[in-house]
Amino acid sequence: MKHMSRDVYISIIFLIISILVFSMSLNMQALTTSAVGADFLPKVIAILIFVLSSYFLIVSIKNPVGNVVDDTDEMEEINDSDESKKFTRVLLTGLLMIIYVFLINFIGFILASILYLTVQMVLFSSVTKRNIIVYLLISIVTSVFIYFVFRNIFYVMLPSGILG
Amino acid sequence: MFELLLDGINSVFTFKIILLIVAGVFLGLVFGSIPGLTATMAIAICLPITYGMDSVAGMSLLMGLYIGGVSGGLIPAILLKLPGTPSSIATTFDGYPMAQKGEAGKAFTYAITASFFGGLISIIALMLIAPPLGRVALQFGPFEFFAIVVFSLTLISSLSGDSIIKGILAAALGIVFGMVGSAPIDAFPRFTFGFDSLDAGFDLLPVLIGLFAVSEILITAEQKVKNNKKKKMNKIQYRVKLKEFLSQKWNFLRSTLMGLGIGILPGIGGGTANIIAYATAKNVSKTPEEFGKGHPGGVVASESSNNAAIGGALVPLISLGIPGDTVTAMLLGGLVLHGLQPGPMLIQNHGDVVYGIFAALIIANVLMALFLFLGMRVFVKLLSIPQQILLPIIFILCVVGAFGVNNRIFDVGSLIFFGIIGYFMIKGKVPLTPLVLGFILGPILETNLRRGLMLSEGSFVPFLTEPIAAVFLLLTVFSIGLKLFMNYRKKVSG
Amino acid sequence: MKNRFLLVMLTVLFTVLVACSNEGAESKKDGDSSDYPNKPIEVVVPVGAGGDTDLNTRITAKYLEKELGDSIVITNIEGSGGSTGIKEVLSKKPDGYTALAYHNAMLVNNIYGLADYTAEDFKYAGIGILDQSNTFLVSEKSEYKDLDSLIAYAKENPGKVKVATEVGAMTHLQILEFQQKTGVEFNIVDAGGASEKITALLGGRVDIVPTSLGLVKDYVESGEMIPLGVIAEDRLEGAPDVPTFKEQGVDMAIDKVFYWAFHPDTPDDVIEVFSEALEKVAENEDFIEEIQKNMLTSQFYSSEETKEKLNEITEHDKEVYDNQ
Repeated sequence: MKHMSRDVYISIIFLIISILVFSMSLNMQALTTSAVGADFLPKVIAILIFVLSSYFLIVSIKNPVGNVVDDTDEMEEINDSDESKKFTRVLLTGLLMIIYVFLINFIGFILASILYLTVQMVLFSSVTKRNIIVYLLISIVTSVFIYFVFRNIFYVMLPSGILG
Repeated sequence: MFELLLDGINSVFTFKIILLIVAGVFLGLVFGSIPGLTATMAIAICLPITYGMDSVAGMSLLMGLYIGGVSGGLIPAILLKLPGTPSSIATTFDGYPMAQKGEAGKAFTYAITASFFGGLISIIALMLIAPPLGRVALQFGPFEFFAIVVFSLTLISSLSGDSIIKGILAAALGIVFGMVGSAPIDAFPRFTFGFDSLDAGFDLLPVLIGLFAVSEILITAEQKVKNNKKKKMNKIQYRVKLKEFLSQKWNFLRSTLMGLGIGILPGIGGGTANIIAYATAKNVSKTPEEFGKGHPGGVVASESSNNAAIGGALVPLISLGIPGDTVTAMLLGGLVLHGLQPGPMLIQNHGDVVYGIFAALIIANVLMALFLFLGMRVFVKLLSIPQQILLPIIFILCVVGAFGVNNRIFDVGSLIFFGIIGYFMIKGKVPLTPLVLGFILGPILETNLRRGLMLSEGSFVPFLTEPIAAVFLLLTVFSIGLKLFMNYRKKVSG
Repeated sequence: MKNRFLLVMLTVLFTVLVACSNEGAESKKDGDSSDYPNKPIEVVVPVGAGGDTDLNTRITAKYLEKELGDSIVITNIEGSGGSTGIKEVLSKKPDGYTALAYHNAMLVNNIYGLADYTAEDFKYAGIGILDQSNTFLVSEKSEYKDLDSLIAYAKENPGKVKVATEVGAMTHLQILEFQQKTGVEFNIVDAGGASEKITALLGGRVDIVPTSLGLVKDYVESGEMIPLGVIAEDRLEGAPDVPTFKEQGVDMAIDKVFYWAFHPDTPDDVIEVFSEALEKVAENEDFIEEIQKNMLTSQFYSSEETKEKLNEITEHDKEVYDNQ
């Protein structure tokens, strides 16, 4: 069952993409005279995606079982009953990454990285095996080390933020 | 010619230059092995240092970095399923499954050997036939490039996993992402939603590392990391029987030649060579179903082609002064700053430097294999670092690498964006590789289509009548036909 | 045990690094321009590494470091005809530690409506290098080897002569101006950047490639390519045999200027320091000799002169563009 709904979602997402791409390419004008302009390939690709994803949608609705048979790791997923808990963890990690990038700009690479590393390591590890002090130490050392190596030896100007 | 090479070897056999090559190969391997850091970056960083050296010394360092940087990618590809550089994407397909089966050592042996000989053959080709090869490359204009790209895109079908439709959709999505930013030729901004930062489009590196590395980190985040403490490391088998090697000889030779050829064509480069060689190896194989499950042939195809692309990329640079990608563009800069103008006269006017470069390449190639063979037992230990510590650090390095591309936070943002897309694609079983192929080849396709139409004043006819273009388009039709026929036969018989 | 050892090692490493960083931090006092520069200056080159902009900037930077007494870090920020890098410079702090090194192409972006900044949006430290070696190249097999025969041929075959350019680049305007001044009509085709244009000419796909003579001198020496003339007031010292366009009756002269620019809010005294250093570099004998190898001329323009020069170029380019 899960298999079916997934492919249906995928084809709907692609359908939406194709419509978006096509409608956006309607406003494109060519700045030079050439046989095909900036809007040509986007339109071709949009039509291609539209046709294929429509076909795929029909197939995946008609044939819900799909090729479940050769799906070996599907078994694992079923064993792990807590799908939503899994997704929460991924969401947290994703959010953490995004916050990290914003922080780099404000408080600089070193502080943002120390924060990110420590929190991420805690997120990754199970409660019993957590050792926050070790994580914090490792985070500080790695962040400072990377920052100085790249900034002073390789001249990659990582943002220094409030420390600079 | 042989004497010249001996002179070249003599000129680099000074303590200082050998040391520089050693340092270059080592640093290159480090950069190559860290996802997010690449040979391009290593060379960009070290280029200014070489200005103070004499030209042979400076170029020797850069050659060491180049070879090391391309080769280092195989380490995380095999051990962690993270391609260290664009050149080692396809190495993950079979290298990682081999490691999962406990054959990490064997995978390394295959990969390093293929890298070494692939690199060696391409360097020899560079030395012997660079000028005629370079002239062949000149014959490739917009019509030819268009046809080659169309042909390469048909390989998506063998990289699509269980569903060809999903593969094509992924490739189309890749082309869409490739269209973001200023359109080729007239620079009309497309799909930028009014954001200035999107004008330049997405850079390949953040897209790639996001899709393959960040998404893996997100997948890992699903579970709390179980401490997979040392899976009996000492039992790892490194030895590969000569017979097993020899069974890959045709695969090796074909992949090497493909890498060399793709390397020579300006603009396509090592990032695609390994994917295309892999797909071809799978297509030609009698047991294509074994690929992706730890078939040594996949590792050999990927690693021999990416190292062969090095020699290939240097062909137009040395013989014509034409750089095919960012790395060779920087090498060109390095040469010019030393007062050497790469071009048809370079070998005549500065034969000493050119043969010095060749000698440095050969030495760097040997050192690369040596370092990797000596180091592989150490690399495997990498796995004993707890994942909850290793992965966050790798992510930080990805961020640094993405930032280093253009010194913009924007690229770090796109790294995460593509990481999230990659995660959902993996969940939806939509294959990632076609997306990458579409992303790289889409702009080349469009640029050459439009340039071709400018040349032909709007006529599509030359795309079909120019001989080289016609051959590739015929091959395309043939390979699609064959695929359809095989599928049909499969359906009828089973 | 092993883990503890690792921890100790890391802590030691960390303290060493902090100690080192303190040393560096002491001399860092931002906002005070009297001791400028007191830390590395980041110079943005808005095109890729290896091209002529990048090379000229790096050569100049090598000499500038000696004059300024602090290091110069060059970062290449590529994309959309330079706009990405240029906007990056405008977004940085106006403290004189981020500079832009570029050429005429910045002005072209605005003329084509691809960017909203103009020459007025920056303060300049000056110009150090002039490239007056702009030329039209043909292959050795070409039917015309000077401008007269080219014009005659092009008039007989309107729209047949294929001229390579990158739409939106400086060379595109050169071609437009040439068409306007001579009344010929070319087939202008996009062939990409400098090296791709050379490939197209060698592969016989285009007939004329406008580029800098310094970039192709090897091919001229080998005889595979022939320059139809230099688009300059006078013949070049490095190529005395190549006549100017003016000598051949086409009134065109183009200076490609390589300038150093700063955020418009940068303090004047900071720019003055940089400007003085640049002037000294431009007079340095070694520097002059080094760039002459690439057929470039060293000439210093002060801050005001630079702005004037750039405005002059903008006006000229605009006229050409509007007349098309």
